Amino acid sequence: MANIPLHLSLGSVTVDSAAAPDRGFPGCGAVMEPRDSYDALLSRLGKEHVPFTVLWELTHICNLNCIMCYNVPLKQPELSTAECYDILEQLAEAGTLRLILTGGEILSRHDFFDIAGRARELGFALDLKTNATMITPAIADRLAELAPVQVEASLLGATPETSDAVSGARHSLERVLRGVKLLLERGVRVKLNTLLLDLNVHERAQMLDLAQSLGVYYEQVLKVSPADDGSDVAGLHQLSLMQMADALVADQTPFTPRQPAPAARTCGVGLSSCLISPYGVVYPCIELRIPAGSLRRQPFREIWTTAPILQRLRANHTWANLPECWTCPINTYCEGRCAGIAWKEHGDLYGGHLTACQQAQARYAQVNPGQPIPQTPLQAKMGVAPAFGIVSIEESASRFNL
Amino acid sequence: MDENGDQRRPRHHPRTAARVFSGEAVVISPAENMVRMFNPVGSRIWELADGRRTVEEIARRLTEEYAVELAVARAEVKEFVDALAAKDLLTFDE
Repeated sequence: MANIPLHLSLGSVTVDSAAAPDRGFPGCGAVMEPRDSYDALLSRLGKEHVPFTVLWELTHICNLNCIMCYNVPLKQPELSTAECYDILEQLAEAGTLRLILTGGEILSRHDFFDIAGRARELGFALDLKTNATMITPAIADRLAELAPVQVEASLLGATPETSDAVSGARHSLERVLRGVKLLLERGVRVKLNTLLLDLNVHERAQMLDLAQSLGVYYEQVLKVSPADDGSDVAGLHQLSLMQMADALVADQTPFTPRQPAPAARTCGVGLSSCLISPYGVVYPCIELRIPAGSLRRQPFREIWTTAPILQRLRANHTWANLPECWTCPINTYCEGRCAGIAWKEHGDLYGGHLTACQQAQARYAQVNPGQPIPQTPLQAKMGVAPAFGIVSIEESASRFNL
Repeated sequence: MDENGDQRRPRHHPRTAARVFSGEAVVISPAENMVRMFNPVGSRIWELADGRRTVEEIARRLTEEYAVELAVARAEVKEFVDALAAKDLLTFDE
């Protein structure tokens, strides 16, 4: 993932200083002196399995038809307003603080502001993901009233032609920019995201300029996700290895290879976050669509604490349990391995996936310009022929002592 | 403050988002994009600041839960809620 001048939500941490002995009274402490960190809090909540962050797809209905969309709408009713209210109560009781509402397009739901308003009454910190094309002045007013931590939208291209080609809709860029500006005028923090594809990568620098001119936080992402049903139409538009490497080199974000520890987790899946679908199904994350349970049949807390898939992920998902990745000669460059995509690609929760291999190779090329790029074990297993400067895993092992 | 103590009723500012985890309050202020974590005493005050209790009642409650003199509790609570109000984390119902 290429991080251009970007900002990740909830980044700053300010805490009070005093540690209170039992029954003593240390006072309330100096409110603004750091004692702990937000990362440490997340780590602790992960160990305690508190569902701190919930990503909720409120709907799969959308007014755009983006080429990289991974949603697969089902022929069953989405959650009703009353069902959403009940789930919000359950999440608040379970300890969820950060609630990310996404779609589809959240503004497609007629009751979106009812649900979001109820969420704020219950003390959730809202992160809203919208394509921004439906935002009018009146809707922008209501979004600002919700006091979200941020609103995220997609920038699909720097020109109308490219944006429309990716979004499958006319005048998409104009509508996105209008929506973003309406939010900014009302003091709402906006973050723009771009999934770099073969269709828009040539406008990479212009999109960065555009985001900077708006004064918003901005992030470009390299990795395409297969659809929820495992199909991979969007994968046809995945950047090539060379395009990825070029983007990373141009980005100039420093990258330091890092040796994974055997007991370290590759991600926090199952620990303190999950996904809820428009149909009330709980999944471990947005990529890993193995159902943990249905909120139409079970309480959230029961699903969260007893679902076999969540228990399995909590117990086993360490580097040492990922045979292909643990023995990979360039795993020190890997930053995008995802259990969900591995499962979609190969049906193997503990495997690698080719997009992560390619991203690691792009990082390798960034850090080691001009050097042959090692093949990964997964590529060798899948019969992906070495090409474009990639040498076989056997050759790379002997030549570079990897 | 009258002879009955500080009668302001602090409550969470409607633009904040917060939870209390194992006695530690985590408060997010979207306007600042900042997360704050309070120690157990600050967290207890945050919990008690429900818009129904007065500052005086919160201070008295702390004297029941901690080994602290009322005068000290009054001063601490007042300083704390005023600091949070200055940052738009609390507001007061008079």
